[in-house]
Amino acid sequence: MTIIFLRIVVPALTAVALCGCAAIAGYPKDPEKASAALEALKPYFDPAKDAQYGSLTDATQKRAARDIIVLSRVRSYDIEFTGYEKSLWGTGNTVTLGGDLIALALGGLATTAAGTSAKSAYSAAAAGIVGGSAVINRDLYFQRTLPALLAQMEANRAKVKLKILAGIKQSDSEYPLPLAELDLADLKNAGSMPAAVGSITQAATGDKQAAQTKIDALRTGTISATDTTKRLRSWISPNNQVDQIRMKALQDWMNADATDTDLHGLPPEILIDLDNPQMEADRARAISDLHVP
Amino acid sequence: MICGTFTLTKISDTDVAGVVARFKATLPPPLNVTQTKQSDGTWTVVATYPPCASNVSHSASGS
Repeated sequence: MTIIFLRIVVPALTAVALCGCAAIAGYPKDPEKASAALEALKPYFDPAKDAQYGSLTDATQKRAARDIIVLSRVRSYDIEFTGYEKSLWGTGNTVTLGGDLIALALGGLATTAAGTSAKSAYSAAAAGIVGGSAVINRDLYFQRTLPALLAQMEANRAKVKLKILAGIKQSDSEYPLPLAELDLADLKNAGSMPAAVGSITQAATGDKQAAQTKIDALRTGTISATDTTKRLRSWISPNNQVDQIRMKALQDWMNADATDTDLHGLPPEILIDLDNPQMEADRARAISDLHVP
Repeated sequence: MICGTFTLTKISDTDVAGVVARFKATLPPPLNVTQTKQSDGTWTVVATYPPCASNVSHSASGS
């Protein structure tokens, strides 16, 4: 039974799982053959085309030559990028899901098998697959981050393409081919993984600095004299003594607040007394939520 | 976890004791609370909590 299971069932499950993955490739079939299209566009990468463009003297002809060279190269980069994107997407989806499906199936068999030896065999096989998946799950990080990376690649490319398309709306003297070629080089690199990672990292660093600036604004400031401050002070410190129960209630409210997560790391006194528009808005919400008179 | 220092300035004589008391009532309490009289007659209160983790700068909580 065990041998039959290992020889027949596991390969069958593997095949089923892999077939399932093929169905989630994520892209419809392209009626255009990419390799044929790229072959047809190849002449526009020939330096002879640049020389031909350079030899033209008529402004209209020069512009037309520039446009066909630039647009052909943009098209080539688009085709190559789509192929790259498809291959990344396919890789990210295939491996882990296959392992998971097999492990689930084997786990189910182990639960329902009658004999102890069969149970052990199924469990061992399932554990083996899960172990394999653990190794494969190294890829899971890649799979999880892939959509963000692809989105960033597309955003980077769209930005450069916009620049190129705006460029070719201008005359040749304003946007000559050598200048367009610099932008084309940017377009080629914009679809790369390092460029996407770089952009995301740069954005995250910017966000971090912005968040830090925001936090720093809450660390130091003048004392507030608004009505909300007075109401919270009177509630927290009746008879000029801090009511610990109310103070805890306020701090718990701050830590649980989902509207302004900056509150999670602030002393309640900053909420009560800092003269700051963000704190003023938070005080109004606290007064309402905690029914402060 | 609250971390780093927090400073309130331009505090009047009548308010300073309450500010200090409320800082001290934080859970957990700060490591230190100081009050300093300024030349304009107002008070500055500084509450010092444990240092923030060096790899955490997006939140005052250090979380």
